[in-house]
Amino acid sequence: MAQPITVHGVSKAFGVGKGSIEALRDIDLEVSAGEFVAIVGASGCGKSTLLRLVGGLMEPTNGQVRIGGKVVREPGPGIGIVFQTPVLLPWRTVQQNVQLPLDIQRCGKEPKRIAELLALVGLRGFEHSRPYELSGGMQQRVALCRALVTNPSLLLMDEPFGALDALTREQMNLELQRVWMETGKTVLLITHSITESVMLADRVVVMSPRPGRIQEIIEIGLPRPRDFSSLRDPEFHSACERIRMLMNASGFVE
Amino acid sequence: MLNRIISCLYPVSTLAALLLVWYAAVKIFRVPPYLLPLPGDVIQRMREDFWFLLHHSWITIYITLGGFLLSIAFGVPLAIVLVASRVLERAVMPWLILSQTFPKVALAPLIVVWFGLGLGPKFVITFLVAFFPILISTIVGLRSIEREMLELASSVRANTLQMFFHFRLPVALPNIFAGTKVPIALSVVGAVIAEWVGANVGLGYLLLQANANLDTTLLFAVLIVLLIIGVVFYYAVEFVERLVIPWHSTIRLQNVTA
Repeated sequence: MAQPITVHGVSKAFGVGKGSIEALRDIDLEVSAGEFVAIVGASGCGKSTLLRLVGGLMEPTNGQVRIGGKVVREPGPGIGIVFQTPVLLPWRTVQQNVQLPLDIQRCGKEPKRIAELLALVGLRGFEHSRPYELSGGMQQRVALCRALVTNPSLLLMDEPFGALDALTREQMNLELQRVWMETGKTVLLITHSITESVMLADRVVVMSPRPGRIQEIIEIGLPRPRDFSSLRDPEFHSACERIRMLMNASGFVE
Repeated sequence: MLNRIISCLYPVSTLAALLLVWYAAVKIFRVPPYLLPLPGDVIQRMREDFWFLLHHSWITIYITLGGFLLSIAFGVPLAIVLVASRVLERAVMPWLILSQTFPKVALAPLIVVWFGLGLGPKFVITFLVAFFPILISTIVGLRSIEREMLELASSVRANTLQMFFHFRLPVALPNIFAGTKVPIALSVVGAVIAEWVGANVGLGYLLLQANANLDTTLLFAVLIVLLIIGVVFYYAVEFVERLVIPWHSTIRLQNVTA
């Protein structure tokens, strides 16, 4: 069952005293259950920090993050995280890597579910490969399967496709959209690609840097499923332009 | 296969050339055997005294291996404790690093005073030589885990033990192995020195005896046996490494180029 996220008055500072750096200031954000929200912003705007606060990997200096009404203090169950790099364990096969969360939580093996997930992302037949035998895109797809294997209601993604080439990235975007539409999870996606954010999200949160704040939240009303032919759609185009303008106004764009 | 043979040919011909130079030098300059014996004589001596050399080698191998295994048995767990405890680490680590610069073999006479002449003090000396590099490379390995790997571990809600056995230890293994290859060679050094300080058996003792008798041929024979022991130990460690961490890049790349 997907659960809503509430971020209320959240600030985060690193370090104490004079040398402390304010990463986030007064963040308020509501994400409904089953919603797909993308967060974009220049580097240093604290978007990865925000994701880590929601995932319980860090605690806010001020304010609260709630998932389904419960205050987040540590990584809870029902959350899957995909990081910037695949962070696969090289001593495990693809199947064993996907299995990792189940092993840690002693949930027993679910070879059928793992096979389904791998098939879903087009990795059928690679179960017994080692991570280093796969390309970067394939590794990141394994990481996606690992995040999905516990069937979490919330999927957090920290620039998951940033290191991929343009074509692989577009494929991954389409796959992610399909997974999301099929499973109805709440998704929070951090990205620095404007196109990616508009392509995938129900709402795009634009952040500005130093300290990180929410500048504007833009609704994307494009019909689903979207694909890259939507790029020519005037609404797609104007949403991208709007976000680009906001990011330019706040400093620089990557 | 042919490539492998050819690639072996280069170092083998270097060895042949060196032996030839050695042989020629002795013949041309008429070097007396107590200064430099002929390579053939050394080989001959090794054949004649095979069982004698083996008897002494056995003791040296025993000491080397014992000291080496002791330093792993103490070094790895201590590294784990130091990485886990910030206080201990800050108290002990500077001294450990300083101890790296200290010549541990210089302690050998003192250790003989304390522990006598049996096998015990020889294990201690060998242990001292191998222990610190193993400790430090294990610490480095345990710390080398990336931030995202730690975040992954905590996001799948691993407890402290799982964190260690599923993440930290496997990540550290390549460093631990890299850190045992130097000490295995050092262990042989430690064993020989331990035998210099006080022994009536072993290759170190044999070296002193050969020296006292100006039996340079025996001296060379012992040196070659020590060389063989060192190389065999080194490759034994590498063999275990291949078994334990076949996934690590240094091993994979070796397999590609070999």
